[in-house]
Amino acid sequence: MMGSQSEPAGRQRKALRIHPADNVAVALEDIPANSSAILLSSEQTTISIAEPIPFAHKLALADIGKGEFIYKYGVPIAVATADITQGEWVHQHNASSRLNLSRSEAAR
Amino acid sequence: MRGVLGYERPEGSPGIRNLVACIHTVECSSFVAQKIASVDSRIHSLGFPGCYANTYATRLMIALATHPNVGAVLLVSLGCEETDAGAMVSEIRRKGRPAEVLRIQQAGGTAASIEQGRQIVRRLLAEIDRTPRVEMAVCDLTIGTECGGSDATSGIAANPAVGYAFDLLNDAGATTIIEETLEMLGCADLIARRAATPEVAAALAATVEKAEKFSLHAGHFSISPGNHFGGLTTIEEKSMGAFVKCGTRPIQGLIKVGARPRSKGLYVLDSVPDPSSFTFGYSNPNDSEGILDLISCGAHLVIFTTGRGSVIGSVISPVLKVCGNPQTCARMAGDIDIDAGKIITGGATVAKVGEEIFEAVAATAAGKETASEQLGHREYCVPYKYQDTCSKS
Repeated sequence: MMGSQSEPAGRQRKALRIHPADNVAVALEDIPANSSAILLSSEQTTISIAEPIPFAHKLALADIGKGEFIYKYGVPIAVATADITQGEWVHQHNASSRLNLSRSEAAR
Repeated sequence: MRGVLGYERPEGSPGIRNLVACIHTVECSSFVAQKIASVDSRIHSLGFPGCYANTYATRLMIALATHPNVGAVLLVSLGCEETDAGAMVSEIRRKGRPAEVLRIQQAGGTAASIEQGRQIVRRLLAEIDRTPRVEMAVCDLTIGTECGGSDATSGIAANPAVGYAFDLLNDAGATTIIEETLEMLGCADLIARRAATPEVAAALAATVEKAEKFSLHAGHFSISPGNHFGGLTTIEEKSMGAFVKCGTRPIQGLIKVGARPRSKGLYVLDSVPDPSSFTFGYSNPNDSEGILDLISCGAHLVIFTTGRGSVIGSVISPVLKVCGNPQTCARMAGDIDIDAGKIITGGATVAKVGEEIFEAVAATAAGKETASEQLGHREYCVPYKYQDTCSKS
């Protein structure tokens, strides 16, 4: 699963779009910087990857503006907290829950 | 599932194991109870640490003591705790289980209690050895599912495979239970649409709303640093991946901890504390608590999925572990029963692994030990909690 030094440069890494409506895909292996990922779906789209995407993490399939929803499994699973460009790693640094813990009553 | 011989129980569903439960009714009696239980691997030691009685914990322990996998019970009491061991033993007997109580203060301390307790459990073991065997089918089984140490492989490999197995089980007439309503946040509509009736849909919507209120009140969601490291960003994302464990069949009803489903098919277990004047209890403080909740609802076996990796088993019922992360499957092979990582590496389909899980459930029911049983895992967690008893089904 892990990318290794002996692999030919430019090998396409695999990513999975779970639902046709999704704007993120799941990396099915570690994806290094300056490489590309091929989507395991009917259209076999190739996405350019600028930064490393760890195994099982999400990469953006399209530009996603700050405040827009992140779709996975065909449902909104997060909201973008920064502008995200296609191919970028999507995680806690640029996306957060739609449920707001600041409404929380607990003083933790 | 052919030729599986279960252990006959007076109240109905046969057991797939035949154990003596050695239950301490307060932390003060736990050491003596463990010493008594250590004489035979068929004795499972568990209990409740609190001295002040808790209705929820008492109900949970009685449900476990009268579980199909339990043939007889010894309660080990110190003698001055508020939890009423005498009332418990009467209730357990009334529900059809041979049960005894040992009070350490009366028995004369540690050594005398261990000696007396061992005599009692030897007698109980001889008694359960005479339990008649009866043929069991899939429709006699209750199967629970839970996840722990999830990562972003869980929602695409292990959990969909368990969902496939859940459909096979439900179609064969089994009773199945999914819990972790704290991990249903963000997919309430999708869950309500799965309800068998409008009443169940309304109950499911209310229980997910209760789970969301609980999370906001507690100040955190059911998502851990390990989940984040494994690629899960939000509770909604974790929820979507977790919910696929229960397959695609209609949800027949909603139950609470210690209650048995009233019919065959898929149930949702709500283990979140209910609001009360004195707010207390924590929902799913760890995976072992969730597994025990499922067992308290009659689960003969719990299918546990992981991505980051987990080693736990449980008292009373076998835990069958399914892992969807190929790296974890390789690193922790001795703890994993089913490798669902081959779905990601391309070696198998969700359907094929789902069938493998179904076969493993049947083999475990027939007596084959799971990895955690072989390794001797016996985790449990019985916390203080408040839950009312109304079950909508």
